[in-house]
Amino acid sequence: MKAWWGLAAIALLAVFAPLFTPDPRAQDLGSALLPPLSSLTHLLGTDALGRDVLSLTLHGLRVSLLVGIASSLIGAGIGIPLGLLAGYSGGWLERLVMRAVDVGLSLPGMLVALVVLALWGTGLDKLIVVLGLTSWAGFARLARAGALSQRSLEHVLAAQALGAGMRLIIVRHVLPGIMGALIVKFTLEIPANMLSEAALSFLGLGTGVDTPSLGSSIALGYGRLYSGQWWLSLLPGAALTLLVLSINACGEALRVQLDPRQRHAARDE
Amino acid sequence: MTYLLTRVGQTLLTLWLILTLTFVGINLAGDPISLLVSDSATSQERLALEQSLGLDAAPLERYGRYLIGVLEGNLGKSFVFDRPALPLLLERLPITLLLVAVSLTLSLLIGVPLGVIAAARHGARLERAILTGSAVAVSAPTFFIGIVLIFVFAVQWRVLPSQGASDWTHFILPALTLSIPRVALFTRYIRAGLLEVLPEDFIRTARAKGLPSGAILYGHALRNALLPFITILGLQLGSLLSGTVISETLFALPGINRLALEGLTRLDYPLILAYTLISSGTVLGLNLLTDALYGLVDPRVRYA
Repeated sequence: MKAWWGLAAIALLAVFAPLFTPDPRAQDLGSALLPPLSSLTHLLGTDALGRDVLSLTLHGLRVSLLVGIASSLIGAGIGIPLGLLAGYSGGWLERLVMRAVDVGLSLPGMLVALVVLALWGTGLDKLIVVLGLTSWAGFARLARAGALSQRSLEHVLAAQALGAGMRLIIVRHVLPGIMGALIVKFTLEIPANMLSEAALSFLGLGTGVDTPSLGSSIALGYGRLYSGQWWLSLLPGAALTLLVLSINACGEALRVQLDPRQRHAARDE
Repeated sequence: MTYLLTRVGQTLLTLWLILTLTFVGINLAGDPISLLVSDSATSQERLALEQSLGLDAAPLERYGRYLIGVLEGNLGKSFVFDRPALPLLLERLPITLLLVAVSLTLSLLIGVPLGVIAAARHGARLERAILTGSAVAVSAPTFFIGIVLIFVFAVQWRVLPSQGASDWTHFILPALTLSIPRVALFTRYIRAGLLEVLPEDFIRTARAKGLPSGAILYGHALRNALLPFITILGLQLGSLLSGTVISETLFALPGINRLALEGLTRLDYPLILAYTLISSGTVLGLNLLTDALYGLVDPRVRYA
């Protein structure tokens, strides 16, 4: 429960950041490199261009949330239907999909994204698409395994016997049975994609210069770590860690909630 | 045996697919000539450069030449460095591999015992402390872990170097950076695996015949918990290789990824292709090895 409150607090702060923080791109060279808590208007200090670190961080969290959720939606939107279809119908379709899944899972997603973004150019939209395309295989594998286990259950067989079409059976009878596992997977995919986004932005191949991403803020701040301006890299980094941590914790809590076996184990403790 | 052969065939097919996709992607991406010549270059100069780099041929012909080149181990000269791309990258590989090997060893040496301790103290405060620590370590971005380490050990305490690779102390912080998230992961997997094995009958039998708990944990239980762990390990090698990109950038280590990043941003096709070949080949090869290892460790999965 604590994890949910934490996540809600961070997400609300991030989503409504434009209402109570200045424009993160607004430069003010007169008040550059202020340390945290030294000024009431810049609670977390300012960077070398006088931009407000609190605002940069909260706007960066917005980008993290957007990229994490949107790319996971793309991955789930491709992977789940393919996996369900493969697992339920079997045959050559299943073999084809599963070969593709093997390929997808054996590729190091970060390196693929790195090459693709270098060739294709950076930008928020491209980043989301690339991260989505590197995360479909996990969804497909999970959905296929679920569909396989549901296929021979009695309520599915009964629906078949009554002459229900494949689409109806998959959507109404197979999908609900594996929804729990898929939701957990989706929840845990979001922070994974957030971390990839941050890493790519850190390397300069992420959201591009116009969008204040935590990864690029940290990369900029890293250059000033040695001269003592620790807040420029450590504060955005801590914020991102907190966000990822809270989503991971919610995912774990969901897993325990949705898996009856683990629910008993949790009660025993 | 048949299974392994199929897997080898699959791996080669995947590699070919990756190389073809990279080739297509590169040809869609843009024009390296404009990055290499000055703005004032005449069209004759551009053409001459195009010919000398072999970019004037038809795409299909270049694709054929490229595939033959891959088989011969010749991927063309790097545009930027004017040297054959494959050896250029390969001579940087030892540093990257050293980093991976040290990180993996560290992760195993710390992660596995921590997982065993957590499982042995199931329900105790120590277990909760270990789990909390690992949850934080898994959630932190790799580069942030590196920055925190640099801040503490190189900026505040000034006890370890953070840039370059002139002696072995330069590898401590990069290796630690890569190890910390993996220590956390390994701890969790080992703990979860052990908790599944510990309630089984053969553990009770071992306990009943008076074996010391250390022998039960490490000798009997851990052996059985290691099996699913090998798969995790194989997948982690891939992510470890991606992690070296971050670590090399952060700590200015002259490994393969730093060079590749430079090639990537300057559309150095031969370099990008060679990098794709090396990195995906390594990852795919390691996955294959993991599958083969699986059969060795568990007699039940020995392939018919």
